Amino acid sequence: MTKGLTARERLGEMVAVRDVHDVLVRYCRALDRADLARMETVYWPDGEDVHGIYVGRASEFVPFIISEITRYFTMCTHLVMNVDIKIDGDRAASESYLYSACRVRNGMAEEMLGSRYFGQLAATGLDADHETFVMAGRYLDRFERRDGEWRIKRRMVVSDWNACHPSNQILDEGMHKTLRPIGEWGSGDAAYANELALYGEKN
Amino acid sequence: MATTHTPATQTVSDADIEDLVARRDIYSVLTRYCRALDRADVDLMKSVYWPDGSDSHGVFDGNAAEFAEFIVREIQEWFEVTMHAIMNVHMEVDGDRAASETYLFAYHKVREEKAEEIFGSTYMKRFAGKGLDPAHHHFFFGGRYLDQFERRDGEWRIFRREVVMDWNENRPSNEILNEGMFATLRPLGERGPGDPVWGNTP
Repeated sequence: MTKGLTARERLGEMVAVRDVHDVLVRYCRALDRADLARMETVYWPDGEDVHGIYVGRASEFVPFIISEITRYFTMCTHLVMNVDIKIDGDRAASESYLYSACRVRNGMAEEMLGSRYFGQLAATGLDADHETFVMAGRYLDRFERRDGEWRIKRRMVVSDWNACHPSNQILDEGMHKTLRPIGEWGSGDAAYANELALYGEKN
Repeated sequence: MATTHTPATQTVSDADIEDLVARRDIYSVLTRYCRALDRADVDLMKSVYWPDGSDSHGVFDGNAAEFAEFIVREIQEWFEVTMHAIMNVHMEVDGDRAASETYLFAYHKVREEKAEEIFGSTYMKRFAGKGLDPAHHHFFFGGRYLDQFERRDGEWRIFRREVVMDWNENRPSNEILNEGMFATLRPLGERGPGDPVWGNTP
């Protein structure tokens, strides 16, 4: 793999791996908070995204996905795991396992999940309009480093499985009503005040 | 994003760097195992263990090379799709040996004809005639990999693996592949050389 290099020579590789990993996590933060400005720093302007629901230029995918995500969902969480990054000079390739949980906005379930599933649920008397699904797959990315900064040049999302269930979410009863704050779209989320640049001002 | 904060000023010893490099190489072995399993690649799976290593996996307990053959064959017989996701990797590195504990969250979509064998009859009876798609069920396995690694000639591999089960959850699959938003989500993952991961190089 990288045999023959000294440990110190491999430090540069490890810094690059860390920087690439930061971009992978930043994508999830930008998406889950619907933060357009942050998402614009994830891809190179000439990058591309093959996302199933969208295939094309990253510069067009970014505003598309940030507006669609809040239209379809009231909450979503994108987890990346098993991150395997290979560095080759100013280029990198990575595979990241993805587990995403999305709570579908009322009224959007039929469009999201299709009429067959929606109809079956409604026929059982279950609340077809409150739905949380899990979609799992993998991000396959190619990165480029330009002027010292790593960003995605090309992303492909591979779908491995999904699971759709009526939501059993409890927000205002039992132990769950004590679990605050609740995550939010936008800069009102607690994560923003936890960033070092803001932490001193708000605490 | 490039940070604008005060850089950490601690000095870094050669031992620190050696430790970081070992951790990166060991983590790569942990993810390679998952890729080998989920893509059903027996050669890749054999490269995860030392040939004289062992695996105590519940369904198998013995030589690691034999385990690699066994699990890559059986996983395709039992499941349509698997995803082995790892988190919370705790490592200790000591010279040419290392020990790690890795949290595992694993999805398995069970083949219809294997459901009774895998879930047992008590579970299956509960779903007879019910559910949206009673033919297909999945389960989540929550547990931990307990590994002993050895470094030989500069390369880290697993010498001994033990899998601990903490919990599992079994459900009707309720998977949607060809309707709604899900109909657009392509490509689908595959086992074998057709999966797009193999072409994804720098």
